[in-house]
Amino acid sequence: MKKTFLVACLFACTATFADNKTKSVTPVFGDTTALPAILSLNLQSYIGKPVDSLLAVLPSNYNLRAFLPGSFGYCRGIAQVWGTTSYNSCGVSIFINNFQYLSFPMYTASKTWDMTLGKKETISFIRVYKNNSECLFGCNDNRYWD
Amino acid sequence: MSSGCKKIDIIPSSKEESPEKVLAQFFNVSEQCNSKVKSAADYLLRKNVESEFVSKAVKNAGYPLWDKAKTVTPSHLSRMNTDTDSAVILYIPFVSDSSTTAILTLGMNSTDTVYKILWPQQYAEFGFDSTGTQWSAEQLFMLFTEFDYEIYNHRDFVVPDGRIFGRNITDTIHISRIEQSNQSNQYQRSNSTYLDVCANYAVNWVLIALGNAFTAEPGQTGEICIRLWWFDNANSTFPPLVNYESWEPPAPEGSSISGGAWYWEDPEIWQPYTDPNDSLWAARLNGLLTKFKGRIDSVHQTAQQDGDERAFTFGILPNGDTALQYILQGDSHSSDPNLFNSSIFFGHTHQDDDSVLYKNQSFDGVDHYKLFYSRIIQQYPVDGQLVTTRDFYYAIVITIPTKFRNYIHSLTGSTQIAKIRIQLEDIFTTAFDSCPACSWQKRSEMGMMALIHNNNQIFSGVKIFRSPKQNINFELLTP
Repeated sequence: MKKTFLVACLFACTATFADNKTKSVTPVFGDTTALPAILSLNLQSYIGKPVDSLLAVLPSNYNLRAFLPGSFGYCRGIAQVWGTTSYNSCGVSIFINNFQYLSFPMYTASKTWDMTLGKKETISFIRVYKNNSECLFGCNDNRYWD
Repeated sequence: MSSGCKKIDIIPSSKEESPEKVLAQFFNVSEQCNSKVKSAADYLLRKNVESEFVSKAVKNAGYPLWDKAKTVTPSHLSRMNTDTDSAVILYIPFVSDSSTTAILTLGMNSTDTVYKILWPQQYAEFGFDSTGTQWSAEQLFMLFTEFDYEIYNHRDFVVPDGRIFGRNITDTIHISRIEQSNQSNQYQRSNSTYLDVCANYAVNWVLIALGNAFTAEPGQTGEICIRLWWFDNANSTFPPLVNYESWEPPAPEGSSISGGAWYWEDPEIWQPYTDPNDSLWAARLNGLLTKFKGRIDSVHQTAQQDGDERAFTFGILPNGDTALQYILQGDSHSSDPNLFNSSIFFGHTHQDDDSVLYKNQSFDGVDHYKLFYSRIIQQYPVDGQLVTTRDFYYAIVITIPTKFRNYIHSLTGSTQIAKIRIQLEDIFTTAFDSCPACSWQKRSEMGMMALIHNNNQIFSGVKIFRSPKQNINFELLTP
C-alpha cells in the first residue's frame, strides 16, 4: 500500500505517455534504402569521367537533382538526393572543379542553369552522405562540403 | 538563448574530469540541505555502488543541485492519509549550460523509494490537454522553467512547439514569467490531494507558420500551475507501478505537418531566451574587428592579389583569449573555414572584383547556408559569420538558434540540406533580381534581407550588422 501510494504521486508525471505520441511520417519518395546500391559502385573510378556516367548508374528513384550553388553566381557541382528529410535521406554530391561547358558567373537562380551541359562536365570529387551529416564516402577532404 | 558575449569570455575545459572528482561533485550535498534531500543522496550513492550510473547521468543530464531541490511532504497538505506521514516527494534539478536539463523525481517513505527521471524532451509524451488533473506538456514546461527561474533567474523562454500552449506545432511562442511581489504566498495552493505551484506568464508573441511564411500575433497573459503532488482520493485507487530510471534522454519525437508540406522533426525543447541587444552585439563585433583588423585586412588584400578567397576562424584558446585561426586559401569563388568545438565565429573574404559594380560587396545565399550548415548540421558552437568586402565588414549573428533552424526549415520548405542550399540561393537571387537598377551592393543586401526576414530576428533567429572598413562601427543593417 505504501509503495503504491508513492507511485501514485509519481504517476502524475507519467500517466499520459502512451496515448499521445505523434506518429512519424514515412517519406513517400526515395530514402536511405538507396544507399547500398550507391555504395556498391566503384565511385572512385568515376573521378575524371563525365557527370552523366555516374548519374546513369545511380538509383533512379531520387527526389532531387540540382546544381550545388557556390558563392553567388558560381557552382560547386551537382547534387542528387534520395529522401526529403534529414532523418531518412541520403545524397551524392558530385563536385566539379573546372567547368568546360557551363560558363560562370551566372547571376540567375541555379534552377535555370542548363543541366544538360552540367552532365557533360568532368567529375573532380564525389561525396556520399546520409541524413544530412553522416559522411559515408569522400569524407577526407574538407574542401568539399555539402 | 543568446550566448554571444558569454562564449567569448569562457575558458573551455579540455580536460576530462576524473571519476573521483565527478562523483564528489555529483554527491556534493550542502549541510544546509534538509534530511530528506540527504537521504535521497544517500540512496543514490548506494545505487551507484550497486550499478554505476553517475558518469552517464553527468554526461547526459549534468550535475544535481541538491540545495535547489523541491521537497513536498504531507505537511504541505491537510487531511492526508496517515499512512503517508513519512512520505516525501523530491524534485531534484540537474543542470548543464545554465539551464535545467533533467529533473529527478524521487518518492520515499519509511520502507520504499521509487524514482523517475524527467526530461524536457519528453514533453510530447505528456500530451497537450492541460485541462485535466494529470500533467500535460504545459505542466512539464512549468516545472522545468520554475527551476530555471529559481536557479538562473531565466524569465523568458522560446517555445518552438506551439502545441504546449494549445497552438499548432508550427507556432513558436515567446513566453515570459511576470514578476509578482508576494510570490511564495500567492503562488502555492494546496488541498487534501495536491500542492500547486503557479506562476503568471505573458505570451509576448506567437509566430504562426503560414506555408513558408510567418506572421505574428499579439500575446496573452495567464497562469500556469504545476501540481507537484497528486493523489487519487476520489477513487481510492492507484495507477500501476511505473519506475522509469533511464539516464539516457529520450529520442526526440519525429512528427509531421499534416499534408506533408514540410517535415517537422527533432523538435527543440524550450530555451531560455535573452533579448538580443543590438548594441551589445555591435560592441562585441567592434571588439573582435578592432583586435584583428590588421590581420584580416592583410588577408583580404592577399586574396585580392592572387584572386583566391580566404577563410578564417575565430576561436577560444585554452588561456581564454580569442584568436584568429586557420587562415585557409580557397579558390576564386569558394573558401571553407576550419571549425572546431572552440570556434566562436568564422569568416571569409569576398573579391572586390569590378570596381563599378561592387560585385560581392555583401553576403550571398550560400554564405547564409554555410552558417546554417556549420551551426545546425555540424553543430559547431559558432555565433556567426564575418565577411570582408572592399568597403565593408558584414557580420551575421545567430541570436535565437532554435528560431534560426526552424525558420530555415520553414523558409525553404525542407529539412534536407541540398534542398535548403538551393532554396536559399533561389530566394537570394529572386530578391537580388528585384531591383536591377540598384547598385550591386544594394542588391546583394536585399538578397540577404530576404533570407533573414528584413533583419527581424524574431522571425529569422539572426541579425546582420555592417561596418565601414575604415572606421569600425557595426550597426544593424536596415532594409
